[in-house]
Amino acid sequence: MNGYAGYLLRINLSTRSITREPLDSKTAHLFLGGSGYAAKILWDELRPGVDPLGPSNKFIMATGPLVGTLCPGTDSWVACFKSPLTNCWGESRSGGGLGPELKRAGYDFVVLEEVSNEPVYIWIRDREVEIREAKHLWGKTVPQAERELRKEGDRDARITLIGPAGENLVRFANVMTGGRAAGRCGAGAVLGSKKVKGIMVQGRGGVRVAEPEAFFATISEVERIQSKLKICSATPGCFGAGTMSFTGAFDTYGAMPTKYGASNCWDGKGDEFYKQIRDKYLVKSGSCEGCTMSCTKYTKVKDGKWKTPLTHGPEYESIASFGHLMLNDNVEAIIHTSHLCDIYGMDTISCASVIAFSMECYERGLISKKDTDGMELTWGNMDSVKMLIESIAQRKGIGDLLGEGTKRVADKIGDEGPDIALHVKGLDIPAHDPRGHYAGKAWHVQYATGNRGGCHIHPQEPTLVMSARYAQDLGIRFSENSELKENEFPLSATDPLTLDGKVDVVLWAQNYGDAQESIGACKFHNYATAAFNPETYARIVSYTTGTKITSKELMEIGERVFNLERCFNVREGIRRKDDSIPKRFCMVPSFGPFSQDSRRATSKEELDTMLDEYYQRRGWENETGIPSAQKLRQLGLEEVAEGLAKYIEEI
Amino acid sequence: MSGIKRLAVIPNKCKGCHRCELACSFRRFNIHSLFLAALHVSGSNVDSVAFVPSICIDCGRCIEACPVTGALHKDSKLGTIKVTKLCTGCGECITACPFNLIKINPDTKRAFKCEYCDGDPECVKHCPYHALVYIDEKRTHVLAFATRVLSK
Repeated sequence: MNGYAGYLLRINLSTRSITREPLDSKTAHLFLGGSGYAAKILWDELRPGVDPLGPSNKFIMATGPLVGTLCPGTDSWVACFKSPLTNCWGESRSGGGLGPELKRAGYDFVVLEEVSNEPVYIWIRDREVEIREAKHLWGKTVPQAERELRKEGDRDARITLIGPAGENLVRFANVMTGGRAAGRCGAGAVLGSKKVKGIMVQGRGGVRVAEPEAFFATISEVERIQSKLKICSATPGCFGAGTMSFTGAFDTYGAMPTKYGASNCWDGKGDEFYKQIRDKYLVKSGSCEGCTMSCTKYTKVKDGKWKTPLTHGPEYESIASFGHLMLNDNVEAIIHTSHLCDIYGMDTISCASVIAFSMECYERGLISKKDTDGMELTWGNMDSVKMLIESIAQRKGIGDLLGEGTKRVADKIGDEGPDIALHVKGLDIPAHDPRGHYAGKAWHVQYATGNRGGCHIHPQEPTLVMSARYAQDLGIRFSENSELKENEFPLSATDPLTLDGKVDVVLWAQNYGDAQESIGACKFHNYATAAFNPETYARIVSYTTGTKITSKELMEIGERVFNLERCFNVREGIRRKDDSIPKRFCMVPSFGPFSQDSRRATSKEELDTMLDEYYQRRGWENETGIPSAQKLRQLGLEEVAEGLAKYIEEI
Repeated sequence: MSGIKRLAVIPNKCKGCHRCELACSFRRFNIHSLFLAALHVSGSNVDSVAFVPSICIDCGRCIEACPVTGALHKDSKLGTIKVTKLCTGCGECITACPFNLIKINPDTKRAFKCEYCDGDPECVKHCPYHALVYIDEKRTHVLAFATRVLSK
């Protein structure tokens, strides 16, 4: 199979059996690979309602057909599992070089089953696969463990690891690969529950494509366009300083949740943060494998209280979360805390969010000094934050509670807790505030309906579609006609404060995003729409696999994956009631320049109108949000439709 | 003035993306493999972020080690050492190469190394960060200067 390594590696950690299974070509045809193929495995093999941190959950490392090729931005691997944070579909993408290496070793997917009795790590070198003892690595931070492992194996091996947070089952623990994080949904906790410290891969094979000449010509064309667009950081484009350069603009137009969502911007602090980091702390840039963008930034705080060794980031989300969200204006503290999250192996978004939530509760008197072990949890008190991060990673004192994630903490606190909490389905909302964001109310639909919960990038940012400049390249037109053709959206969709066309935008973005997850493409390349759009992806995938697909078919694959993930969620009990949006994001900001603008608020009726339209367009039942059997059959998911019908009958 | 051109590296510009290696192996064998590339980028993400591309500098140790006369010879036009059909694939050159940049071609079982793609190196074309350059031999001293400036 061109484009694929052709095999799935199945490792049972309890019986220690290791099997190599050929890929199912029918599934590969329906879902391409990546999270789509993994969703099919989990749908088939996971019983509904299993404990995400128990032996029955499975952890899948998935790559796609483009991973490991010359196509820019395809250094991907996706972790797929049932999330311990949300109790539903969990997936988390990461770069760092593990995906391509896995394919060179000869595997598209690795499925980890059951649990091990003692700490282990998985060692893979081509056909040789071993489950090795990892007692000496247990308890070590990510860089410490990586140093140990490098001593044992090849210097150039690619290593993915969990930190102490994952070992201690912090529900938002992440998996770190070469400094990059598969951050969200708690992938690290699932690995921790299986007692797997990490995976070390070396591959000496390669990835073949079906039509090398056509493939090469397309890639060269893409590269040419990209360098012309100046998105490559060697030229002074917008990615020169990575995602941290967004902070200025996002703060200005009010897209950064501030003081745990009480407002949506903070007095131009974003621009200040960016300039300080760029001028004082930025060391150099790096890149994932095969990427033309080099969004990896390395920073260092040389001395002082927040002295930090050379570290990845902080990227936009970390700055916004450890800055605006908890009203901290000390840049050095942002770099340091984001570094701490990295070495302990925790998601910076969820970690900062749960800390900011506890600050809000502290201010309201819902928790007191007695609960916090004497810590002053006042806004912007970074000494306490530092201590909290450490206690969360070790699950000590109040950290034990906070390690459960915002939703569970809010439920435990009770009272007004759940009303303040910023999460959807349990996943904390990232730093994209709908009240001032360029995509405006499209975010409400995106957050509410996302399969993994409140997320900005999964499956896709609606912002991408709403800009007329990008839309043209993506094959989308905005029209004032009342009768819209295919891929035509009403012109008013580009106004963030109206409801018009927001559902169209989100539907398109979600389908496109899930198609990208399945082929293994990084979404950072999206904004070079002239180079990467459904048309080029379809062409590149066709040349890679040798099976011709059109852009329409590619989008349909995305839709299929999205529906399958939804079915997985339905089986885990997710219904329309769970497609909610935090109350704070529907209210006018309580301070700042947007606090007088009533148009920033969104009423429940407006939300319902958008959701009604969304379900209808998706072909889901309006009352429950369950995909209809007819829709599933239309997407070629007959077996899934039968399985779902049987499940619904049983309950 | 058209002198001999050489492949050269500006190390500070390298971001460790490995595109040069992928392009090299892909154009050579139609396969994306770091193992079958005639150049190599090393560097890890822990402790240091110094990515160091190693390219063949035509030091000549492979010729010295080669037991077959004429299997390796210095091409006067390109200024690089080339592998000819006389190569038996004995592997002496591989042991001799200090940088591990001469390897065995899995198809022909003969040695292969960087031969500047006959004067149009693919690695240079696919380096997004311009860390690899193909310039006149007499101008390579400029690179030493550029590297010094960039490292500041």
